[in-house]
Amino acid sequence: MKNVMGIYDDCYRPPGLGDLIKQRSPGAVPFGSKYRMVDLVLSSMSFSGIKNVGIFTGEYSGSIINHVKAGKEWGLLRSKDGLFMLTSPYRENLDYLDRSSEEYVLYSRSHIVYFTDYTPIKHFLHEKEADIVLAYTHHFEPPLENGLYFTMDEGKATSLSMKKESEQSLRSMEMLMMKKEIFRELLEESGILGENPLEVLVKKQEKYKIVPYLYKGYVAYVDSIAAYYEENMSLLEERLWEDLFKGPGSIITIRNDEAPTKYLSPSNVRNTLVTEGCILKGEIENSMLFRGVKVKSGSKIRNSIIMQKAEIGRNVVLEYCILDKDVKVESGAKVIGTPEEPIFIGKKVVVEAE
Amino acid sequence: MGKEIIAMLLAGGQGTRLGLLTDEIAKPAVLFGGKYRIIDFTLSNCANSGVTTVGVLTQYRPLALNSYIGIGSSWDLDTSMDKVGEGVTILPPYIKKEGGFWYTGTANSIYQNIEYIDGHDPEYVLVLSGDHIYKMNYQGLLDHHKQSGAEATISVIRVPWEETNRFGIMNTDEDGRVVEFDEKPEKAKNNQASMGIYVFNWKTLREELIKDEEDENSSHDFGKNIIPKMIEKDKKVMAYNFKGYWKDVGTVDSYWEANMDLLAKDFIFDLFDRKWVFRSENYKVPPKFIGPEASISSALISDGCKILGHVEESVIFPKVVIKKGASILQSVIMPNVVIEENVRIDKAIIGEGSIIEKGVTISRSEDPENKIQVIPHRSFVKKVVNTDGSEGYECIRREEE
Repeated sequence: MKNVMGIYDDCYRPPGLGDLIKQRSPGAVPFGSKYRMVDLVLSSMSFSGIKNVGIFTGEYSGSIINHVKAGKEWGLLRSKDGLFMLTSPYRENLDYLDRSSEEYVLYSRSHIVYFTDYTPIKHFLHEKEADIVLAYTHHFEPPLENGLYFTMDEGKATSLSMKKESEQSLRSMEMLMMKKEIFRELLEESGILGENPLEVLVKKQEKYKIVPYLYKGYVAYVDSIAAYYEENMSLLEERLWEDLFKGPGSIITIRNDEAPTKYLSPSNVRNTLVTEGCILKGEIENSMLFRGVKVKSGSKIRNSIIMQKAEIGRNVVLEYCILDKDVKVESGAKVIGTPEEPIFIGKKVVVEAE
Repeated sequence: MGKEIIAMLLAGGQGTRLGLLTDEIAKPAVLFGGKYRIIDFTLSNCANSGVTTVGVLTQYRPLALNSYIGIGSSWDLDTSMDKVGEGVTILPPYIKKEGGFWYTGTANSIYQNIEYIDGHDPEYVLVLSGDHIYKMNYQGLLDHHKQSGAEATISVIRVPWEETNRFGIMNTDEDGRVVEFDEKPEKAKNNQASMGIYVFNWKTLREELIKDEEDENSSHDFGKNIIPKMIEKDKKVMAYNFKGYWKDVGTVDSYWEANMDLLAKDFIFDLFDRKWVFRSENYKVPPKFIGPEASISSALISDGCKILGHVEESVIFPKVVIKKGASILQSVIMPNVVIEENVRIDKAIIGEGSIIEKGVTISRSEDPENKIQVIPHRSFVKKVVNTDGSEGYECIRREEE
């Protein structure tokens, strides 16, 4: 797919993500055992042949900049085009748009992740002679606190709104493809009103022919800790793992040079996604482990998400927990949450036994 | 002003004793330890020791090795960027004005690249071999070399006495000076074996290489010719005692053992040491999926695998599928292997991209010669019933896709 540039907007901070984004941007949130949220969308762009990507960075931009760096892994370390970190407010980046040679823009936001090839969306835009194509899905649960909704009206998207207005309202993926001039108009306006490009679009919707595109691939709406938990847990299904990870193209992340995971004896790991660099003992079931996690003997981990480099001592019990990076759980500690309200333990916290 | 030290890595070995594992690739490119290739250990040691200029001498089936090493960025040994004169350079035999020659021996391969080394004008040259598994800071060896004022220093390790006849044994005086190089002795006087790791003063080595090249009776080998000659001439050759894990993975048995060594609980050779990272190719693969009925104990498993069966005391490379009811014991499974339901694999090495059909048993204990079973790369393995009614297996080479 040629002639399309990618815009990844990492400015919006869903309030529901709470401490998960305490020191990072939504795009930098660990996801799917070895990725960050940004990896999926950036890989989609790279997979679709997009060679010019701009990332609008918001608060805690260091976290995403440190992860993506120069975009080498996604084929974006290039002498022409490549990756651009847009650290100033929306409107101050008009120059970047003007300088870019592509005629179309693919816009995506960081709290909604998916992995796809955008080529059909571009064809759809031409076929429908649309100004803007707005992707949507039938995926309603869990409902987002805020989101771009619309009403389907004879094949067009009308009544765009940043919250659900009626039962007929459809959820968009907040992923749009449009002519670059149109995106430029949205950015220009955003400067005056201090709003993001979607809010401007809602205001100016009458001006454009907006056509909804039903997206049927994988998507995760991550706007709360509960949604984060549920979306990660859904990856434990073998079918989804096959669809998402074994299809054409692959989700790319930065290299980390970890050793293969070592399973000691006795260990019992079942129905779990694990990446590299872990040293595991004990029982681990229905869980997701990120890199470098250490679990000692006698511990039981169930239905939990354990992020990078957590250290779990002996005879620990964890159920329905989300452990952020570098958490230490001392021997004998017990933390038990519920499916509806998993317990979140923040970065670098030390959990002591009672 | 030249560099203090550059490394010359001998990666030309055929590794014929590794049999089918080196069918298509040079020995240093053989897969090892769940995600590495044998040469990764030496290249990582170089990068971690601060030896940033490395010439890799290739010869036998170099293609896979060349494309694997590329510009060296996997080990942060890039030749690109603004690091002039640094990084990995691949040095295959090449045609010169007076004709082109294959490397006839380890010393000859360095001899043929005198120009490359001179170009860096180093004080010292580190000669390494690309087929050992070990972790070593070459800085310690260099410091020892400088302090002792030697012209050559050989890294040695104590080996079991019963194995001394497989190694070059160094007989030293009380100061650690080498007085005799005993190549594969029947009756060794001690058990200090050469690890094939040498540091030389470049000026001395340069002279020795030129003289050795003129000697028609020489086999142009470091262990057989260069070192004994230097000792004979009373040049100062010192031994440097290395303590740690070092393994020559030259045979199928030692290759298999070295893989099994990695599974020990508190193994001294730590792949997980963040201060001494062994870098390798970056496999772009998903996390691994461990199924609801899987059982795993004492194993090393890489990403991209789907494990639905039983894995015990085994090393599993990326993108391996192990289906329900399959059981893998004390084996090494290379990338992209599919193991169908109810397969039993015991003490075997399964080559890259192979498919093992339902119900097949591949087991050392069922082999009349009791050998580690090696399935060649890209095999299709199916069950056969012998004339006496017993069951065995048959390997068919899969067509290239």
